[in-house]
Amino acid sequence: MRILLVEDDRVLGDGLRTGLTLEGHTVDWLEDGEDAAIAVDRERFDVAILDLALPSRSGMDVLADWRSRENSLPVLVLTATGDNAQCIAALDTGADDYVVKPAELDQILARLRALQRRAAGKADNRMSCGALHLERENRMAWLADEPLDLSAYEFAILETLMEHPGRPVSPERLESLLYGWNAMPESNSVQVLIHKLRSKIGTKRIETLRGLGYRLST
Amino acid sequence: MTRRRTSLHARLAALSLGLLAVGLAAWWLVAYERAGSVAERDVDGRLQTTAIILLQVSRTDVSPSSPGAFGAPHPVAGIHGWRHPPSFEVTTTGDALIHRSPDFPQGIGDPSPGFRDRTVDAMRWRIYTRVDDARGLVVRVAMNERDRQDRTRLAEVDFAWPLLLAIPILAVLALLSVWRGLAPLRHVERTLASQDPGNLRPFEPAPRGLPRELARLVDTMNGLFAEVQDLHARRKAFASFVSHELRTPLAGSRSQLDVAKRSPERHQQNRALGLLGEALGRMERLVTRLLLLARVDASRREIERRPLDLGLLAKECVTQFNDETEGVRAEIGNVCGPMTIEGEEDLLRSLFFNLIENAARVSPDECPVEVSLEHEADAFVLAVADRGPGMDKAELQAVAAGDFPLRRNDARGTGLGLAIVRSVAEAHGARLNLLAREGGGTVARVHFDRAPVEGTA
Repeated sequence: MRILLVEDDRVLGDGLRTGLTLEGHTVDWLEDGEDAAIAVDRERFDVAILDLALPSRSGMDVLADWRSRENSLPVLVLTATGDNAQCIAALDTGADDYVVKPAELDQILARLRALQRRAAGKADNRMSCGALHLERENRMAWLADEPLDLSAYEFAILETLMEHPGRPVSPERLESLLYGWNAMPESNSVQVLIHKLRSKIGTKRIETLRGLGYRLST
Repeated sequence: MTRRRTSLHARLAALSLGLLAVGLAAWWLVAYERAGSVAERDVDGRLQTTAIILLQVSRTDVSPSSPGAFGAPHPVAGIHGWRHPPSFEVTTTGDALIHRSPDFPQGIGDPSPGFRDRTVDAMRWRIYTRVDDARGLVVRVAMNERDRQDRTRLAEVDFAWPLLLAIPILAVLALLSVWRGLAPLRHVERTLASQDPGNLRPFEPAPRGLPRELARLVDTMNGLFAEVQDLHARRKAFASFVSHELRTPLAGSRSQLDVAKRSPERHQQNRALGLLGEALGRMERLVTRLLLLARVDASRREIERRPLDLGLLAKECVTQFNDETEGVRAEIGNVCGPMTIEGEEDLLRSLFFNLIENAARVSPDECPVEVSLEHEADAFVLAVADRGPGMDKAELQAVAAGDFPLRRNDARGTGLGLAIVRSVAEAHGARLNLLAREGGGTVARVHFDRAPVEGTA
């Protein structure tokens, strides 16, 4: 899952970024409200964690700006205020969920999974495509009931392909999902990962569509 | 053991009834006394009237036994309230009997006119003698003690009845007066009982207006309510501020703890623990400052004052700041002469430090914080100026209204330092003003009164 984290506190931002990365997610961290407002125009994220008290522009402003431009990015609001009115205002402005600091990383992860699930129109954290099964909660995948030994990157690619079975996913989308802004991938790294994934789930399960990307066969 | 308190209603009712009882008792005594004298006057009047009538109707040319000795029937018998007609005798001035009623006392002797009391056969009599020299007649009219007492009792009853009727009526009226007179007090009591301690409202006046004494009480209470409300609002804002300010470093600590627990790599764990320590240090500093603010707010009138030279203190703080911090420097201009005020040194040091730190945080590295102390007509003025981005109009207005911490969450800080400065200044009878500085930046000015601060020796 590619996560946009907007948090101006250095220690908290760092902790969330590192913790979420350790859980296999790609996190792009911004500390400024103005930057956050335009970041979603350039990149595609699966979910955003948005602090409300930000320098230069408040989180509420950023959220309202996103929604006014019909950006439906699932947003988890993170705030230091346990104020009921603010919670209601944030949800009414377009937040999908609301969590008050301090919150355990497991809780944030669960909320992010729920947002992702809801955005994909799924009822639970499990996905299936033919003999392939994937469970987001414990980051496990199976082929015909046999557990697959996947790296974090391989899991992320399989998860993304399974979200759109039968539809192509571009290599750029997969690159941004895997690396975000913080690391420049090798030019063929996605190809290498697709190759490794094919060797584990079967070559024919992932098709290459020239000029379009990769598609999971249904 | 709690002493049971009597109600004001009961006290006033008892007082009113007591006074009423005393008044009525006095009235009763006077009336009783008057009834006796009225009865006596009444008896004497009757004796006189009877004597006059008897003289008018008496004839001298009839024998004493003749039934026609009087020109008219007995004139005073059967009048209401008299048990018997008076006894009488009519004689000539030569003491020859013309007529005598059967019950007239014998042997009273003295023929001189006027009233006198005589005891005849153990019965006391009141006797009136009237002489008609022209006709040579003497009339004596007498009434015995029993009849007199009857008359007295009658008079007493006549006086007492209205009084007996008046007692319950006056008592009820007294109780009603007390109840009605204390109605505004009950209104105040009801309003007070219905107050929400978390949201005290000013008193509404009673429907017919409050009496002057209660109006003053209500005004005093309304003033107190306003102060309590203000204090309540400030405490609520302070608690909210504390909660807000502690949650972020707490969340940072927790997130780094999660990283340290989850990461398999030692260097990542160490880094997370280092950041965790940093967040804890930040919380510690924050708590220290919050406790300082709470202490100053709580003991505003009880700080330990002693004479201090503001100039000397400012120089020491500037030197200490430059020694202990890196980055933006602080400079202090010339300080002319001693500037002595009564104050608590530690608190004033925190005031200087917070102002200098606030200014340094927003100043570019090449622009030092400028500290100055000046004499004004009736004050010493401390000024701390920076070349930072300045405060917007709303923030300056908020500071002027005392409405901060500002809960800003950016590089300029949260405003906690300003809250400490304001509280310390107010505890010393000083005033804080923030002004936009010409050429950019902000200048914080603290006016210390030169006169001894109230409450000092």
